[in-house]
This record gives sequence, structure tokens and C-alpha cells, in this order.
Amino acid sequence: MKPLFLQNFSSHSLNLRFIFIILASTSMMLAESRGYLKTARSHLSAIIYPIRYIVDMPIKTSQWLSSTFNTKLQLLAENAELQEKNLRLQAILQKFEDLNSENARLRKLLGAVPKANTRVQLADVLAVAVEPYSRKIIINKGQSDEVFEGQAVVDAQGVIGQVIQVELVSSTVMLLTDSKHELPVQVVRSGLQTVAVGRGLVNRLDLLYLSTPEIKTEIKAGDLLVTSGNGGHFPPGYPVGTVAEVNLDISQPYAQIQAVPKALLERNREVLLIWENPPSKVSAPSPSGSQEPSLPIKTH
Amino acid sequence: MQRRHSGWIIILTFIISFLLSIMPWPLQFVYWRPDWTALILIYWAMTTSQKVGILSGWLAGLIHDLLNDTLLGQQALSYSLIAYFTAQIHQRLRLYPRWQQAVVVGGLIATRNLINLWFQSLIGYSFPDDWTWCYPAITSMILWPWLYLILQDTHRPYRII
Repeated sequence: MKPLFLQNFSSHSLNLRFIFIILASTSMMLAESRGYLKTARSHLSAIIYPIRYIVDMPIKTSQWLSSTFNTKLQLLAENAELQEKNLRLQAILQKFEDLNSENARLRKLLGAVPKANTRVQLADVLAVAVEPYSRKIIINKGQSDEVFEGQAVVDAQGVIGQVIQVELVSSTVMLLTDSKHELPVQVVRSGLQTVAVGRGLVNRLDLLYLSTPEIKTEIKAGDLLVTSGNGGHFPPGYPVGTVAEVNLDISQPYAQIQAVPKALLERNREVLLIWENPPSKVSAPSPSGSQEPSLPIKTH
Repeated sequence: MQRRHSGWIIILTFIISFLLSIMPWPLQFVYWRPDWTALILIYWAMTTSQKVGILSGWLAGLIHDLLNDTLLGQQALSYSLIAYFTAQIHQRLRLYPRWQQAVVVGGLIATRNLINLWFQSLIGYSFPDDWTWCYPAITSMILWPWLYLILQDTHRPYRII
């Protein structure tokens, strides 16, 4: 029988195998940190999707059950509430449409590039955990839904983070509180630009590179921060967070400023993926824009 | 030797450990989650050392790399390290009393966490300045004797008491 032979396995061969495995793992890590192995990873993720699915399923089922066995009264109340909210939002939207067309008209008058169109898709957050020292979530949209790396992810309140790994039917999103995440932001009130960096904590962001003379007037607690669009990944104008505290420490080169993210980062069940389509036909020739300047551009 | 089913049992216990390690966990106790896969790996590498060894540890670690979105090879390396040490001392480990085994298990898991954090700090995460990396070792140590009893029953199903 085999075990008899295997018992003779000396620690010599064990050491050899271990050295081989150290070499294999190290070369894989090096390769991946240089940006290779992306496709290998997205294919291998097909193996682990069933594991994630099994963990996610009972939670989804319990949610489905609780919504199925809602009483009629509860549903009616919820319906009424939602309709009222819808009416309110539509009223706001009417104004927005008007402003949007006015904005497009003005931009055309100026000969400026029209703003990009956006497409949005809803994605479910899988109820699975990732190791606790980084802040990441897994969503159920992947390559088959044209998700791409670096894509912006938001919720109803504000920015959540960006896609860092696209797999076949799921993808990994790095939250903006992850300590490797940096996001160019802008203070709405004063236009001051800075970078919001995660700290690896649940609900905190650091604002970088603000020196003492400018912060006295241009930033204070309660200010709203939006994406500035400088990094290129994020479309400009999405709310990111509010300034929580401003610390003037003259011994430090920069002021210590902290912000609280607007989005419900760890409590979300659903998030929105954003596609920012570059405007195709209207943008290219500027003379065509000057021919009929009063015509409002239809943005879709 | 009643080991006909143990191949399937081993794979099944590993799959269960993967499920347990990505299950949603309350935020306050997120650092206290026991290292299920390491516990299972140490148990099998100790009792059935001819079947579960470095390679099994490496494969389990690779799946953890995919599940946790760490660098491919990072957890694979740290899990194969656990398997390597267990294989080196498995004969002594079998003779230890349960609490002494638990201490070794805790030590191995704490070492694994340190190695993982060291790799994480190489790619840009800051090393935590508290003792959170020890917590999984503590909870795993507490769980070890009970897990040992359960797993012992799974691969001796026909034992007559």
C-alpha cells in the first residue's frame, strides 16, 4: 500500500517541496503586483463564485421571505410613501431638465465640449466578507455586464468607491475608505481642491495637502465635498462626504482635516455602476456649433 | 484502516471552512473571526499527513487569495507554511495533550497573520499598530479542542465503542 512508501518521505523532500512552493508563490505575487495575471484571476474566480453564492443565498432568501410575507397594510403604506417621494423627486427633476437644456445651450454658445452622458445600472452587493484590513465589497455584475476596471460606483447618497477587479459574473469594489484609495475632491463652497484618502477605518477620510493659510477661510466643518473629476476615473460633481473636523497643528506641514463619507458604505444592499459615455457626434466640430447657436441640444 | 471516505470528508471540511470564513460577521467582532481553514488544515496535516500536506495548504491558500482579493500567492504561501510546520512536527503534535496542541495552533495562526500583514504592508497598506492580528489566533485556540472532537468523529464513522 502507498502509505508504507510515503512514510519514508524524508524531511529532505518536504523541504524541497516547501522551497519550490515559496518560489512559486513569490513569483506569482511579483507577477501580479506588476499587473500580470489579470485574466488568470478573472477566470479562476469562476471556482469561487459558487462559494460566494452559497453564502449569499440564505441572506437573499430571508429578505425575499420577509418581503413576500409582508402584510397588505404594510405594503399599502409603503406604496403611498414611495408615491409621495416619487412626486417630490419628479418636481425636482422638472427643474433639473430645464437647467440641463439651458446648460447645454450655454455650453454650445461658448463652444465648449458638452457634458458626457451617463448610463447607470443597479448591482446587488453580495453578503460576503473580505479580509478585515482592507475595505472592499463584492457586487454581482461582471464582465458579462460590461463592467470595467476603475469604474465609479455610487449609491443614492454619494460615491462608494471604484471597481478594482472584474470577474466573469461578479466584481470587487474598493470602498473609498480603503487605505489604498485616493480620490480627487473639491469643496463645493469655495472650489478648493484636495485629495480624499481612506484610512482603513469604517467611516473616516483624510484630506491631504492643505496648508494652513488657505484652510482658515476656504474649508470648515460641515462643508460638502464633491468629486472634482481630476483623476479621470470619476465623473465630476458626485457628492463624496462632509468635512468633520479641521485641525490646525502648526508643527505639521499640512493641516489635519477629516471628512465623513456621505454614502452608506458598509450598510448598502444595492449600489449603482456609472458609465460615462463621451459625447460622440456633438463634440467634434466647433463650427457646426456656431451655425445655429440657439438650438437646444438634446442630451440623452 | 477505515479511511475509504476520508478523501471526500477532507474536501468537504475545507469547503465548509471557506464558507465560514466569508460569512457576514458583525462589524465589532470582525477581527475575532477564527481562522477556520487553518484549523482544518492543521488537523488534517496532523492526523492524515500522507494525504494533506504542503500542496493542499497551498491550494486552500490560493482559494483564500481569490476570496479575499489578496495578491495571488500571498495566502497560499502563508497556508503552506502552516502545513509545512505541521508536517514537520506532526508525530510529536499527535502525542501532545489537547491544550498544548491548542497553543501550537495559536502560534501557527498568529505567525500566518503576521506574514500576511507584512505582505500587505509591502503593497501599500499600513501595518496595524494594535494587536488585532492576534485575535484570530486566540479564538482559534479556544475552538481547537472542540473542533478536534468533531473532526475525529467524521473520519472514524465505523468505530465501535
